Amino acid sequence: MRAARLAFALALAPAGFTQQETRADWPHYGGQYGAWRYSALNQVTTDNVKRLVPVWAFQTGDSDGGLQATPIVRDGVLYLSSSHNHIFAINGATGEQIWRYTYALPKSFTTFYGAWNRGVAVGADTVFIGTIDNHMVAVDRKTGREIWNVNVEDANQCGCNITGAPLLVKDKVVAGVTGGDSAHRGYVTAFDVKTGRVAWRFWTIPAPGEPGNDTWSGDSWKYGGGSSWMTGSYDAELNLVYWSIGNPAADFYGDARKGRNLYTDSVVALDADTGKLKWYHQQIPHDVWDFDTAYENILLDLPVNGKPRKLLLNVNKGGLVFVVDRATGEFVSGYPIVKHINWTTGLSEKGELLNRNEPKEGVPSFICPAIGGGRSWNQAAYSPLTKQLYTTAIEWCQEVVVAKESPSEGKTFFGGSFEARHPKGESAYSHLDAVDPITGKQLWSYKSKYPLLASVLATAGNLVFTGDPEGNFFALDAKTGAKLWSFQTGSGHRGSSIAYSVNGRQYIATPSGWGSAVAGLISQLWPEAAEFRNGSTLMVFALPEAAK
Amino acid sequence: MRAIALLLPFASVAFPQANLETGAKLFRQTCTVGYCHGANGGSGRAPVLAGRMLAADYIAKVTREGIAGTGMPAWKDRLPANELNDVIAYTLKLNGGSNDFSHSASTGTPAMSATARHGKGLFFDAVRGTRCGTCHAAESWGAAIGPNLAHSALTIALLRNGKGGQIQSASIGGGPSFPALLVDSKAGIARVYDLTSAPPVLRTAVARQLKFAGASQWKHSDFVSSYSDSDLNAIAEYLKWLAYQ
Repeated sequence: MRAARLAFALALAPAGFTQQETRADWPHYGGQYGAWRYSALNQVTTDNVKRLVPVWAFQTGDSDGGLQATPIVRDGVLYLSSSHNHIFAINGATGEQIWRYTYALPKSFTTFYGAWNRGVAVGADTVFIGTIDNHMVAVDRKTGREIWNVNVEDANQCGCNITGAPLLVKDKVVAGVTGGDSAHRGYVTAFDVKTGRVAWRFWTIPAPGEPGNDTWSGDSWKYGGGSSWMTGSYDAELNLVYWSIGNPAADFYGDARKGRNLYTDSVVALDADTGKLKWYHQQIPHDVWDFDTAYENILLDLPVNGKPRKLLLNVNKGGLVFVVDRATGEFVSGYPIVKHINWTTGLSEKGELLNRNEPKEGVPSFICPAIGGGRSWNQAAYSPLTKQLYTTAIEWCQEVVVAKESPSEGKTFFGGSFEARHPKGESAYSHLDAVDPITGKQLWSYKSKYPLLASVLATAGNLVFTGDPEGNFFALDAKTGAKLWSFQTGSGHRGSSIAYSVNGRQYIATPSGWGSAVAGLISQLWPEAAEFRNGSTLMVFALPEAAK
Repeated sequence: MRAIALLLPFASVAFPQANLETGAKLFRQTCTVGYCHGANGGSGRAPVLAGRMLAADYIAKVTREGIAGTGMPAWKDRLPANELNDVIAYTLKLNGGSNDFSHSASTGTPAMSATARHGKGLFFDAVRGTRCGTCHAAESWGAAIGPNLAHSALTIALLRNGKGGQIQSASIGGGPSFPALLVDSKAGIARVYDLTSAPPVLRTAVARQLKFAGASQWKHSDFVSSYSDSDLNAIAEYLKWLAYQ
């Protein structure tokens, strides 16, 4: 209705080779299926970003665990999930609530891990969410009324649940599961979008008789972890769903699970129709550091040594980036994103870990980075304009003591304990870097006192956005790393910002709401962080309407 | 539980000099990270600590020495003595009750036979995609979709074939029919379990769009085919034990 008055011309960047950039909508968790978290909108630029102002704010009313979601935008409506699996449909231009869905959590259920949720998937008619008691739920996109609800596996028994956003692929919605630090065997499950029936399941740990089961000694496969707690990616041309599989359990104590422990700490490529394994790439055989392969899989078509390649980039929790061929799983390159890394001295030409520094039983071992991660799950962005990967990183260490532990189904299964430490010779800190995605060559680095735990957003205005634990949401010049704008949103950042447009006006939306397990962990090194205020607000910014 | 009574009481578990504020902070920084105890002693992966009224000497001992073979580490090796005292004092505050009595744990639970124990394992066997617990709840595990099975005289045939009778053929808005178990219908909204495959799907529909067309051909035996008769016999033993609880 106001489109006529709005003089904004959305000069769009030319369409990318695989259409991985978003435009008016933010249709999937990672933006598009390739998880670039890059918007082609360029109304907000390095020149005018300083005039960005808040236009509306949305309070979810549930700040337990902060606000960790990526909002999804389709046709001008924003879909936001909060802790305890509330879903809100919000007018993207005005911030008015269209409907809300309140998940009926059984009163008898006691929360573990945390109450947070990291996002929904939105289809033509339906919004999908995984719940803190391990259900998958579909609600009507127009009304918010529940359509179907499946108890995937009893949460009290499995010690697992769903916190990650599901991925909608054709007529199926695919979801992972937590439980990698419990005595549990993980899986990735696809559900029929219409009926909720299980369409396929990929067990992340092979059963006896299946290839790979011999990489687990004894019965350790039964409770070997291998969670799938973040969201996958999808290549429509190859018809492959890519999912990251987390650490083996017990996390630190590995003697009872001798072997490579497939498919933990691996990226798996699954046939989107059947869930059958096409290939896997294991980053860490027999992990004893809790360095999950868990995070986003960024799909890139870039030349390597002059040859065009279809690539997949994954940041490991241990602070290493692995780039593989996404058609075959073949290792292409790897590099660290942190300076303080001592659990390995690096990678061989084939991508194998060199000189593993394993923690010891009963005595403290000084390991860098800390298990909160050389980077946490919050995601990186890739800009096709600068051809840079923008990722956060944390320089911190820990003392790990390995302890023998036997599994008890569904219960915590860590096999040791840990305590964060400052790195040798300097205080812990964090940074956001622009690096070449293939070589890791750094273009610039922005330093932060506290761990940066929010995802990164890149836009065609040559801007990079993220937020810090103190509540500052800020924009950097994508080419130089210079800070161009900052706004205090009132609570720390642990979610993922997005860009979208309605009636030709570009908006930047960011969750503001401190919380999560890592938020508790950082107070070991920064005691004042224990006092950081939590919250759960979506803050939305735009240029003033008068601006022309 | 039983182990509690065997512990030697500590001579003293009162910490007059302990700093509860420091204890609370240490608790946040150590006990609640790594997804273990919940914030403020609430629910987490590890046991709830708030309001448990556990024996003070037990709490002190476990905090100091850990529990071998579990995720609970020995904090005496990790924290200086004064900080350890602070965190124990804070945990005792969360725990509630007296700080200086020995709690004696006794339960009247009859011992479970080896067969019943085996049956319980089968009932909840996570290795099977579909197990009894997929549709039946017991002892706070499983899903309460089908009936509670705690009963003293269940036959193998009954466990194999189910009672049947309540499963009807239903369709929503003229869509394909499916075996359905009606949950409720109120304010014009109906909920049914779709039992086509496991796990069942709870489907919500406008009541007038939900149509029933007589008894379904659905068979309970299709969902328990991974269990042998001897498995079902052990499960019956477990359910018998449950019935006596």
